[in-house]
Amino acid sequence: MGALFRGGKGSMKNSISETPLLEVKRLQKYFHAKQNNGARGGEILKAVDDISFTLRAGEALGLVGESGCGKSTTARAVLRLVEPDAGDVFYKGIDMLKLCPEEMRFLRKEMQIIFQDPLAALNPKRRIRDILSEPFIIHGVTDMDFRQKSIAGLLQKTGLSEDQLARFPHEFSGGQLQRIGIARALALNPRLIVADEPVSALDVSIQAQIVNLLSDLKENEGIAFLFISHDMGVVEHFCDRVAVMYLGKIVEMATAQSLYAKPRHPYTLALMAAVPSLRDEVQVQKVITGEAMDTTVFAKGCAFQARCPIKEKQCEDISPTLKEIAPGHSVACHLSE
Amino acid sequence: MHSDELQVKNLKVAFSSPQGDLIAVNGISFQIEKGETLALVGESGCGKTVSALSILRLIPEPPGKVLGGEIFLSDRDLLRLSPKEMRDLRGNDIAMIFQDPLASLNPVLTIGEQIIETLLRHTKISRSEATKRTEELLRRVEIPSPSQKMKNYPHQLSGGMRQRVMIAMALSCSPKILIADEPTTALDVLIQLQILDLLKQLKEETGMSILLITHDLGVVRAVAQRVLVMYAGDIVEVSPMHALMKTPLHPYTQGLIESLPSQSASKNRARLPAIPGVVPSLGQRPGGCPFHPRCAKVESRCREKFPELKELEPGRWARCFVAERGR
Repeated sequence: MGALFRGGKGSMKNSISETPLLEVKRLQKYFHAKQNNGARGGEILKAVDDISFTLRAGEALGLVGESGCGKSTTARAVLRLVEPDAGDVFYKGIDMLKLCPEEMRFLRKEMQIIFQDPLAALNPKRRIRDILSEPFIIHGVTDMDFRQKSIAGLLQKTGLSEDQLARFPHEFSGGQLQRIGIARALALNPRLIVADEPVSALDVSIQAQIVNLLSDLKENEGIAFLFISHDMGVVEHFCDRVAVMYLGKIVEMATAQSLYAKPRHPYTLALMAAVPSLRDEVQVQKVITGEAMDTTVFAKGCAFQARCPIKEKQCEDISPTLKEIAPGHSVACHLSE
Repeated sequence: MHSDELQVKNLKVAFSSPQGDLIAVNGISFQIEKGETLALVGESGCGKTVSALSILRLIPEPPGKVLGGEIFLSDRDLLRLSPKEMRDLRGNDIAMIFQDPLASLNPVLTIGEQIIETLLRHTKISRSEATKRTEELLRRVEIPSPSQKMKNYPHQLSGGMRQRVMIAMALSCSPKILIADEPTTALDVLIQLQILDLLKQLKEETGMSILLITHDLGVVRAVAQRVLVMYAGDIVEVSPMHALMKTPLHPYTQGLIESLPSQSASKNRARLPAIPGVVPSLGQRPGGCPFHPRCAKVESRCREKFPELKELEPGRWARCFVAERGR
């Protein structure tokens, strides 16, 4: 067990390894809405619909899209916090969906999650010292010296101080709480962190501090990130690759560089136009009409057709599939060529 | 002064606590011109919402209290009106929309019923007329099939649609001023654009003024003409919007813009230029310039003296010794 805590130090610096840490294949999660009378058999909500991606060690993959597009469900299904209906998830080549709860718990040490609302994620009745000790207790680390030293190390990494250990969550500001949430996630030396809108609830001046902290962890510790956000600016800054989701499907996936240099899907274009430069006097903001409806609306064709500014006849009939149109750049749109 | 719709002078608001009065708004003055969209920008706890609520006299007393100041709407000082006069004024002259429309709507009444109720309360029209007007209002805020949507309850609508309902309700009595407190913060980016676009369009049509409260400079960029930046209860910068975005005068405004990852100057840098430290809480306002512990350009006098808000360029004001000297 000790090896797990010491592993990974230094060897990962600045390098993204080639073999995937995480491989997700054709992941699917449907929710069955209840009918008005409470019985099952209502509408089916395709939260995650046939999603595949890989994540290498030390790499950050951004999952972007509007609320309800399935980005959080995808991340939770990967960690088996919700059970996927179909598909495969391989972590370091291990088929995760076949593991029993005991094995899964052991593996979870290496994969952690940080949440949007850090106050809701921390137990209000426990002191910071207890909150940070808990991961060690759960995973049977009884060596008090080691625990103390580890906690001191966590504080240092996340920019917290020793005298804050005796305090309760309500005594901290949002940014500090997020640091505590990150410290707890780091306790067992994870290789993969799911960050679910980690800076969305924070003040503008604090957001940058937390993004910088996460960047340091990625660079120095070689931790891989599945980074969920609706903020295209933060994603461009932090992520190596980006997957854009719309109604349960990935509609575009590329390296951040390629995606931001040349977005191909009309939905990606719309998302990017929504965060224009503050300094340009002339502004090109194209307002996309309509709202993302649930997936039951369109029986066939592209899910984006109702809001798409460049829709053609074929989009109503044939659902586009994700195709690689440039090295490492895939798009699901008939009109992207 | 006659083109000013609303004038706030030396408004000072405090909240009482066991530690004594905590100043939330520290004697601010500003005016909203007719037909103008003025943005009030700052981080949580800077006093922007408290300022707006004070205009409508909606600060809960106690613990809150307005310590001083004047708020003029035409010739009337709102702080001296009776509760009855104030009730008539709210909705008629000044209307407000909030961040969370679901919390502002009654969950057990249909949205149609709620707008009809507003109309009957404020105008002398019959119920059937009010119903017709409601349908018109919903159409005006671009809610599809309004006659059906009127029969919906708030929970049956999406966040964007609910905010449209709130806007329809706010517009029902043709107010002179609309106060919008973080109207799009809870919405998705694309829906946010739609709502901002709608506000802009309605402002053009009606000629009303908008006081927009937000922490999001992108929102400011999209709709505002003039901007007030607040920090720790003070106005630290006042400027026309484009000038503010291009050459912010106050180091705090500079920091806010620079720390946004989407802004070109900081693109492709390994680290974002973050503002260090945290926003001071109400009881812990630092002496001198309240921003000095976090300021990159701090000098010795910033620690001792509280700078004044000075006009450094025509129409542009900043509360900063360093910015003053740069002129």
